[in-house]
Amino acid sequence: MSDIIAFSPVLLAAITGLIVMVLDLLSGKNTHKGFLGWVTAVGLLASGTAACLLWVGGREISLPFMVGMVQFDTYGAFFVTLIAIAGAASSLLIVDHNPEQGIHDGATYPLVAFATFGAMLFVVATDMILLFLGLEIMSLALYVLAASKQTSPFSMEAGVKYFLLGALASGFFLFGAAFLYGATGSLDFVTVGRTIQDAAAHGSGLSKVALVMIIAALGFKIAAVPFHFWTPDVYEGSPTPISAFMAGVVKAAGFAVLARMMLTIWGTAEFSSGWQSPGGILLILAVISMVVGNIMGIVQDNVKRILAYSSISHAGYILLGVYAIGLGEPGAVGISLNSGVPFYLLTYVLATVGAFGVLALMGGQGHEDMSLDSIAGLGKRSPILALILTISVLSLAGIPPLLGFMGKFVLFKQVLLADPDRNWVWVVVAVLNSLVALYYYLRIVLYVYFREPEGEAAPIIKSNAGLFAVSTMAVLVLLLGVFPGKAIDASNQASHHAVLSITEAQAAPAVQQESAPTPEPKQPLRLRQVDGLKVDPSHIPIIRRAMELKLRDSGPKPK
Amino acid sequence: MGSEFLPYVAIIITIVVAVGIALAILVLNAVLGPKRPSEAKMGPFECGSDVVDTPRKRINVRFYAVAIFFVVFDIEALFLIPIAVAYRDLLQPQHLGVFALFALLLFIGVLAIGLWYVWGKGALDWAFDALTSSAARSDANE
Amino acid sequence: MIKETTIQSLLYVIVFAPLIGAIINGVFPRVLSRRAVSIIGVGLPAISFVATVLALVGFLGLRSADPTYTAVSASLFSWIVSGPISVDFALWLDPLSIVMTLVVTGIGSLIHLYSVGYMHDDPSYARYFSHLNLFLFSMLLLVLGRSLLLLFVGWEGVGLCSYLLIGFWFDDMDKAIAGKKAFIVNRIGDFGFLIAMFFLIFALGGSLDIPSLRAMVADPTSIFHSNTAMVTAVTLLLFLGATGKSAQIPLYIWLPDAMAGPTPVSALIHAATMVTAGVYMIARLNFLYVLSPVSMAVVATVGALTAIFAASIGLVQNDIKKVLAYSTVSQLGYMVLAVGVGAFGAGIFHLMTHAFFKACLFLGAGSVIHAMAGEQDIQKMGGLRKKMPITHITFLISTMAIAGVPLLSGFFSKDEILFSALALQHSSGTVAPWLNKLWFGLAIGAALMTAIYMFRLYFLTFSGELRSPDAHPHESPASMTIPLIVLATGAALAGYLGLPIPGKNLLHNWLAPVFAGGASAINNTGSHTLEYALMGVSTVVALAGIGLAWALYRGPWQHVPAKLQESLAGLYKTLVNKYYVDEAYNAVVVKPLIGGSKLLHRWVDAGLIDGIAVNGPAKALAYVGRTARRLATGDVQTYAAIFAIGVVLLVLFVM
Repeated sequence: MSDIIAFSPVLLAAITGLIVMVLDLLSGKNTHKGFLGWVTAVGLLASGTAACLLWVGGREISLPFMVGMVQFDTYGAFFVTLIAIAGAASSLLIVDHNPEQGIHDGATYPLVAFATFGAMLFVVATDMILLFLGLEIMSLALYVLAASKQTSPFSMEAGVKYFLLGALASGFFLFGAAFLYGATGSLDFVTVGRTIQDAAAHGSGLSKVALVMIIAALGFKIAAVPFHFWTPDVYEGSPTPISAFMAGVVKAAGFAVLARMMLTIWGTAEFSSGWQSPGGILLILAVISMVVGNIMGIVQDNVKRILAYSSISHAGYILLGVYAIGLGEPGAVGISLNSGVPFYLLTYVLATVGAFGVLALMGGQGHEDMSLDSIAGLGKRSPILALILTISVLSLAGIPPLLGFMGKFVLFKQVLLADPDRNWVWVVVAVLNSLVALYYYLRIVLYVYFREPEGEAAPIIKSNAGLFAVSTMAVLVLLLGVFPGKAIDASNQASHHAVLSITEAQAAPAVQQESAPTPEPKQPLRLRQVDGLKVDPSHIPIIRRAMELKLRDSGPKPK
Repeated sequence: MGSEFLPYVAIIITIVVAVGIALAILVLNAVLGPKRPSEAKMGPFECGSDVVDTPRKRINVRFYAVAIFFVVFDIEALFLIPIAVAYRDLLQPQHLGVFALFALLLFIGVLAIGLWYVWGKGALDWAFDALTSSAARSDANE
Repeated sequence: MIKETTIQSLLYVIVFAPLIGAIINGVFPRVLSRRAVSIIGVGLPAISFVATVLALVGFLGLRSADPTYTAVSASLFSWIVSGPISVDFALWLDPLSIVMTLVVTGIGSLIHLYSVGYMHDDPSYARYFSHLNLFLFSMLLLVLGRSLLLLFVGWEGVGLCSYLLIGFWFDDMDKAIAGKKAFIVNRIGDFGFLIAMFFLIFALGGSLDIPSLRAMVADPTSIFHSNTAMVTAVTLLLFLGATGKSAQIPLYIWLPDAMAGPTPVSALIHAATMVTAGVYMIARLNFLYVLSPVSMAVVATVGALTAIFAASIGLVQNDIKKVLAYSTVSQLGYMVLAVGVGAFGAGIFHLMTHAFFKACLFLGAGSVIHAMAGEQDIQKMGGLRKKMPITHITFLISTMAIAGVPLLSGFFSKDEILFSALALQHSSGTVAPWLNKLWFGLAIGAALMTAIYMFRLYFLTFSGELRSPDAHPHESPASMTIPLIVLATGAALAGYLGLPIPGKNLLHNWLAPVFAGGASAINNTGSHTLEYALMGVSTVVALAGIGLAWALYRGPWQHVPAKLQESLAGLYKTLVNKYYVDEAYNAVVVKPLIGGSKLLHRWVDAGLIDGIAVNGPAKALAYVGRTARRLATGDVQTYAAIFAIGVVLLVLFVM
């Protein structure tokens, strides 16, 4: 039972998908499917609420086949909540967007729910098989969603592109996972990490190739340069609520997993020493993502493409945060995730979903073109949407007092604190980049308020659901921007659990007692205890055998 | 030859036997079978489509849909077989107990809902009424 | 018996009711009918007033149960916690803030009610009420905020609202400029306020929380008593803020221009709210000010100078609202003089009585302007006595009150200030002994001028014959006359709260706990005999002024003003042009600033920064972007190839 409670946020998302599927079927072919969006949103928010309720302390997982495969702690809860919010917002945006776009099929909603479910599974998984399962559930649903406007060649193109490149990325991920398995004989992060950090495998070629492969695969999901090419095309071509989903949910999930995997598996003290270290690669990607994202953003004329390049540059800032590992609590052992990263993701997701959401509400009567010209004069046609778009975009640009400013402030501060002597260069680069980015963000505001449309203006959809979703985002951006305390606290707590503890010192007490008087032959292979994750004693032999495969010479020799 | 290779001996034997049987069938067929060749018979076997045709021709999308559904339920069967084999053990209290039954039912249940959905959406109808009618409806709206 | 927790809830009601009104009217201006706007716009300030009265009753109950009870405090949340600074979003209600809140909400509500009649044809009716409510909210935050920072929020808030309301008719360039002027001049003062807060925190280690600050200052060994120079700096910088808000020399220049706004706004700014902020702030920080005799002397001198300076300008103005505006500046000079000599109670007393009669005068002037179809020149008025009986009576009572006619409110409060100016001395010795006499002299001179210009205004407006034949004046509607009557009653009777009888002065007894810290440092060197003698003197002065005004503008010497204008043409011109202060500021501050800014703009900003530093990289980046854009071909094969090449390069890099 406790397993079901611990797993309930993720389960709720899946159940939501099933319920929506059934409702879609039962409601008949010719009904308006908008209510399914509300059901999806409520279900996903229930899932987010469950995650918040589970916030206090990690939950124990006792089912044998789940041990070491999932970890539900503050880190998971933080991202599950964030994903749930973004997923719910996207499904509300679909409610009136789809009929206007000529999509009357209710299949969109269960797909959104399943994609969200996949993202959640992706985030809480600590085992590469389960991780891959989550990744694919999320991705497959999204391939279909990207192509869900069947009458539009752009949507089809987006779907196919995303699918082809996504399959490539998944392939790389599998390669990486396989190499890691080859190097360590295990699939769960903790064992893999321990093996790699303990033994000669640390410097082995397999581990390094695996590192690059996994960075490439996850870099695809988070749209980091040079794995980003799909982003503008797919964001532009997909139905806009789906773009919102991709920019919000997929990126948050991708980063959550990237940070946890990187730091758990390769997270030694030398994580970010030198260019060839794991952190060094992230740093390279961070800098080129920022620069490429912002420079390309400048020359775009389509708002969705601008936001796509903006999301690439944001990936750069966040990667910088992952590169600069946190200082951890005073006296704590090991490294921790830079606590600015979860907070920054929060700020980014809310603002970007808000911005895409407003664009989604401008897709009336099948209108697809989101060029700057077509949103011109929005300030006069719909002051409220214009205001929300402005708030979102300015938050992305990092203008105080909006949330985006706090996000950048906290992140850059933490990056600087992690290593003041060297990191100031990167902070300066990032700040300069945000200045460049201001150009295209303000360009959107300029068109919204000070230009008249020359061609056809994008028709505005009257949508209570969508307006509710985007205004919630905007209010959160404003409110949390002024009172960020609680959100920063939550991010700090989340970041403390990002790195799964792999140290031997925290062995389970029962095992320790045995070892104290007379060391038994098998004793060196003590099991570490993961935060909030207890190992069922009856399964120790199984896990131990798995570890033995690669660990024969790592601990003290048995007598 | 070390003892660690012993398990592979069985595999090698299996391979040899399998290949041998296949070869034997082909050879026996060639030797014993009557031969009355026709154009259709001489062509390679492919389900439903002409062998020599323009490569630009579109293949009916129904093939893919059916293939995908097939894969899903094929994999269901694939999962059920090992569970069935180990089911008696799994039911023991020291393993999963009754939970094994629930897990199994859950798995089948989810797929059943999927089947129901696919069916209800008309995806199993060879004529694809659902798809054509929804396309017709969106045409009517434009 | 009202419990303390109830009072805390009431505090929130008092402060946030006007904000809710501002939000509703601000967000739904087109949805609401005029009637709904009026009900919301007037109703919520009225709720605020009722809540204030209830809070007062509750406070009296608490105080009768426990005589040492000083303040109700309600903390909504912890607002800023950063290093040495910790500020709660906390409100408090003590005797001083009760008096201020009553004045603000009471008179404010009346002005709101009056506005219903005055503004009823304006197209931006809802916007007007929204801003007016916001103004009230800011002012309430100012007087009820427990920390200096919250006070400052309200302080900035009223600055913003004054900008919005003075420039309410922003289609008119002059009015928009007047709004801007008010805002900018206020900002100069605010700058002083901000610096003072920084000094207070970082140089003196003080708290921004006023009760905590008072406790710190009360400790005689604290840095506040040793570092007098820094305390002087802090108090003078705060006073710079006060000169901005309370329109003192040198920053008074915005107030006369603030007449550009609708007349009720002038009444609100001048009588009940904004301009009293500086006086309130000094009275609130009395314990800090008394630590620096130099600051006190500066404050008092500035106040006295402003009083006579503004009064002299008021003598020759012909715009009905301008006369009242300079009269406000002059009266504020009195209040500042009072708090400067250490008579904090007297300052607040005058603030209160002034709120009544000045609000009444402004609203009366508004009624007149309304009746004269927008005419503001008193040379073109006259004889309105019969046409507008209610406006006339109320205006006369208020004029007599401000002129200091005995037994009306202004008489008591002004007299107390005159007495204090002569008799109160700082216990550490005055900065210069002759200062008391100077202050007294200036104040009594200003009192004479006040009587003259106010009755000049009265006679020219209400008596004699109407001097513009086209006008058809009529009495204003009830929503405008009722506030007039209420305010005139207040103007006549408010003085009895502070009768100059030892031990029976209700207001002083009430405020005593607030000023305990400040009062201990002030010595009263005068006797009651002196006080009663001064009453006689000021009565004579007031009556002399009135008589002179009658003689010059109604009586036998009517030709004299014209002659004086000719024979003293230079002085007259100087006065009409307000001593050329605006021109001087223009020449010395504004023009060089604009010229310098233009130079900077042309060479540094447009040339160097925009041209090379901003546009240069931007152009370069745009060029790079356009070039790099060719990579994004849309071709999946290319994308996949780049993806794969990226992976291969990275692998080669790490191996």
